[in-house]
Amino acid sequence: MKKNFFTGKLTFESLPDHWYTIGGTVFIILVGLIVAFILTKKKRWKWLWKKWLTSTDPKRIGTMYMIFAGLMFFRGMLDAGMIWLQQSLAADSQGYLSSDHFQQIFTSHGDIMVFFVTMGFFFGLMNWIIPLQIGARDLAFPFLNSLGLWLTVSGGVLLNLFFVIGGQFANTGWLAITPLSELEFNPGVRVDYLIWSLQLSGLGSLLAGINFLVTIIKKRAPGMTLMKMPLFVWTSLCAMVLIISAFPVLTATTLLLWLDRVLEMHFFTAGFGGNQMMYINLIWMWGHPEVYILVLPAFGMFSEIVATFSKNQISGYVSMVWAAIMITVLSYLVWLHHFFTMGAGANVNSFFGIVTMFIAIPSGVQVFNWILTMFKGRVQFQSPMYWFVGFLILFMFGGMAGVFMASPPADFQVHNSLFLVAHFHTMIVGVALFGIFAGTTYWFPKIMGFRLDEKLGKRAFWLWFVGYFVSFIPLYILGFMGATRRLDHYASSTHWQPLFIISTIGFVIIACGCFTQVMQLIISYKKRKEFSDQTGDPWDGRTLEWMTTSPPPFYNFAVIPNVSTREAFWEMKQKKLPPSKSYQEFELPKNTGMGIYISVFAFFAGFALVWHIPWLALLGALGALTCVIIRSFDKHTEYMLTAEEIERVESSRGQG
Amino acid sequence: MVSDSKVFGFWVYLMTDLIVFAVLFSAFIVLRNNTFGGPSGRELFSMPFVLTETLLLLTSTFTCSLGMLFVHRNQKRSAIFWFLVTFVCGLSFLGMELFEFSELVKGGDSWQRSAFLSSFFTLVGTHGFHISIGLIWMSVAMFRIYLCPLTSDVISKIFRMALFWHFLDIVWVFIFTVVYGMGHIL
Amino acid sequence: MKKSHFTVILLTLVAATLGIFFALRSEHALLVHPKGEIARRELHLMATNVLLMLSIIVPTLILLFLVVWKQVTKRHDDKKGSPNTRHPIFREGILWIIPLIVVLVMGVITWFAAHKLDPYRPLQSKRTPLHIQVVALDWKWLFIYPQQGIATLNFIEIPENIPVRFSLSADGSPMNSFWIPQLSGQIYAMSGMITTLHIMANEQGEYTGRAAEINGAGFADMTFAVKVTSESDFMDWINSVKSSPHELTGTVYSELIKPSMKNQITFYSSVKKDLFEQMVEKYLKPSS
Repeated sequence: MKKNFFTGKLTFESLPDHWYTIGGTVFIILVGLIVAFILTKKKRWKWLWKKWLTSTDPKRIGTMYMIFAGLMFFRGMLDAGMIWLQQSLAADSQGYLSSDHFQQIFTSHGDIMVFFVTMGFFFGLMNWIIPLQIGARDLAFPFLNSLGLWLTVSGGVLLNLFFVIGGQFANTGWLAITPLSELEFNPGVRVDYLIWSLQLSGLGSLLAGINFLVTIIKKRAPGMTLMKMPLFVWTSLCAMVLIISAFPVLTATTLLLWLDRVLEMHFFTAGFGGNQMMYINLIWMWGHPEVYILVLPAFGMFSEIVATFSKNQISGYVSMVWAAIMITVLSYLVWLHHFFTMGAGANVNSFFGIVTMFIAIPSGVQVFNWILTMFKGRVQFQSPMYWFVGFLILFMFGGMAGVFMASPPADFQVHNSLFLVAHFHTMIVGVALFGIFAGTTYWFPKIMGFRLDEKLGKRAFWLWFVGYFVSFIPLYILGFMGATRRLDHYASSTHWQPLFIISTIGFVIIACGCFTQVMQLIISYKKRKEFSDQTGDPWDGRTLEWMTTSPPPFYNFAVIPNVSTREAFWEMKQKKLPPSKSYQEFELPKNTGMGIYISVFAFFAGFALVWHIPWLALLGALGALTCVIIRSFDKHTEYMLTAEEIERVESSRGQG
Repeated sequence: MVSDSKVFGFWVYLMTDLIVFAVLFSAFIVLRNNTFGGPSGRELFSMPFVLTETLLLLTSTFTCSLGMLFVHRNQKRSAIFWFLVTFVCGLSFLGMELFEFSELVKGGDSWQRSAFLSSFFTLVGTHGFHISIGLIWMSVAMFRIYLCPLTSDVISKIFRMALFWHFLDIVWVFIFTVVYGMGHIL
Repeated sequence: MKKSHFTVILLTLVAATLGIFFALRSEHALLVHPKGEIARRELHLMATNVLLMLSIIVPTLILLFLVVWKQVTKRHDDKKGSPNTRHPIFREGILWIIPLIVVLVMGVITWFAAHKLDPYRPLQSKRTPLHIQVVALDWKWLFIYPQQGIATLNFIEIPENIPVRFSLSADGSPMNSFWIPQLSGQIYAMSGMITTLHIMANEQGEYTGRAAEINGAGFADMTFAVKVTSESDFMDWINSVKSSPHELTGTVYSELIKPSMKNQITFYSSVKKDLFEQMVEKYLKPSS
């Protein structure tokens, strides 16, 4: 590709010229215009900037993460639908998508769902709930929190920018395996879009990981020792440990791939001494901890939910903590199970296979304890419990499929088949997504001040639960029929088509489930007075977040509680301890636009690096650096909240 | 204490940076013999040259500690002086490294020649990039000492810069051992 | 939760199980109807592992359903649940030991199976293995029979009950995976490297092999035909290939490396000497 100093690899051909790039561009512009129109009409620009975008309040940041993840979820589901439709049509035909386009779709589907949807939803819920559960007012580094959010958003924007400029996304699969992602086989910029959107959001995730880790270690309420923390905090802590140790590997590995592509280095090329297998090893050394990052928070959420709705302490708290730790440690030792078929030999393969199977032990312990919690308790089957039962079933089923593949000779047959695809979707849908749905429903009254409609919630569950089986059981079967993943067409003599069609029907059912959830949000909002949460404790909760009003005041706690037992709030309720009324002043962080400015500079730097525009890259980098330096000289990043103001806020909420 | 969290958080960040280097080190070790017919480390590296670079960095880490000492004693002029010495050492180190790189490129042994050279340039170059960031940070820190009263917050900021500098020195010791030492002897 | 809801969940699971069971009985469920020694043993291992896992999963599911059913049907008179104030280590210990035992058993089985079914391990047989060199190209498969001095494109014929040793690599194509589901599990084929796969077909017939790792636009069409015949028919086929007009010279090969899709099955009566070895070497040393 020819390069121009001012515009790098950009040419007029980079502008949209396919139906989907034009469509995508039009959609983006339309949505942007509509939002801008509404904001102008309601004169809400200043409000948006002051109250939301520049906020350092983890509750606001959490909500923004959730909204962003929701938008990306819509995009990812669109990709999924297109994949399903193509595979249902393409028996002895090319279907409606070219091979290359199809390959771009599943690549972006994977990257979006992993990096922006699941991570986004989890960071959103964690921002809201972790400070509340540990009795803190904020994260350890409020500014970094804002920066992390905006870096993630800029990564998401960069990933979707190809619709407008470039016209193509990577065709390599979500992890950009070498040497397919190298210059020899991919000379354009589309792999660079993947690399830099991952770098930006990866940096955001890393900062969030550091932030939550330090918060949980350093900012707990007095008396809350580690073994008195709620299990959601414990599993999140484990996930944060995984983030800080694994994400640097992703950063370094994609950097090396990028160096191969931009400076013609030879880390992973086919030839010149490059080692394509090394990329696979490195990327999965990140990749495997990543999938545990996606499920550990869900485990913690479900522990909270089952305890609350069973009116019972979680069974075996100590075991549950050690199970989470064991999963965390083991997740570093299993990465090779993603490529048993690369020919490492029986000794190496067996080691990794057996260690993988060991993860079933803490998983099993958790399942037993969850069931035991229900057994000894008095269960109220509100909709979060429906998601919980669905999760238990899918976790066992998907886990079984995982251990099935942990045996190398079995894996030789099902590797890269639809059986594999069905397994990991079972885990991501059944554990991570169900966890997000359950957690959102559970904490929704705390966040918004009103409950979600229960009937619609249960209906959504049924559609997702049944839809899951109709979608993914055929995929497990297809794996056994020799169906490789990522095929854009196939011969009808394979007899795969009927199963693909059934699977697509399942997708339609799931899509109805998503639609129901959107309806649930809208209708619950309309009925918010009827569903409002007056007490702050709608479920008779056990942990500290239920101590505050719904939603909490912007400072969370007027007085930081003293904790002496494991289920601090439950204890307070049993002992009927009155809330403390002696208010003392404390500091809170001010809002700042610096997170946005740095992320915008970083976005332009990323864009420039994709298109090989050195001057713009330098400008972006220097701009971001300058902002950081300016910020470091800002002495007025916090403000004092006086006791009188606290008194005023508390009494207006009926607490004073 | 707020500063306490910030220093702890910075240590956590340093560990993540260490993991980035660990990946680069492991890539180097895997690729160190993949010269694709080209030159190996033994043929390319000059030990006296590298020893000089090492001495520069080791000196700089010592003078950096001195600077930090004077910051704690609120002796601004001495602090700035020693950080300036550190800066000069660091800059000289960087200059030598750039010289080494340009000589290699001129001789046709750039990062494009082989996987071994790619990994060499990347590992050593990433360290050099971090040194550059460290030099910029040090300049800002010297400016800060000059301009601001040395409150605990300010001292904490300078301390983090010093930590970063020491961290880079430790990484260099590994580079010296693994890249140049092992490459030369083994 | 209403009892009807509980029943729906149960029925969904039953339907899924039955669906899987009946679908796998079809001849098109290739992995469950192996035609080769390795695939058969891999299936046996899979079945063993599944049964072992079901020995925990099924009781756990039953336990779950019993607990849920009990909670759905019992009347909640009292306000509080009974708190778990006692945490006997004994009970916790049991919870850890049960999965530990099953995992240990599976671990031991895995160790031995992984060694017995290692693709690099030659099969026990009195016959000398037939050697086929496999080159993954964009987007077709080239097969060289070095002992017979012939080559084929997108087609192999092998005799039944005689071990076959594949040596695999790739040229001009990124990472590839070679998979004949009815004969054995897959193995990667990568440029500059040689991997090995030992198989043995037990039943005559025509099977499909495919590429199992995405490698670009022509990925879906990168299938090849596998014909398993009697030994005498195999010898006849070799002789017929030897009279083919096509020859795999260096020039022909350099044309083949160029990307193309849906290539016709072709037979080559002769092969350039050391073609496979040279192809691998060129990734390791610069060509002089």
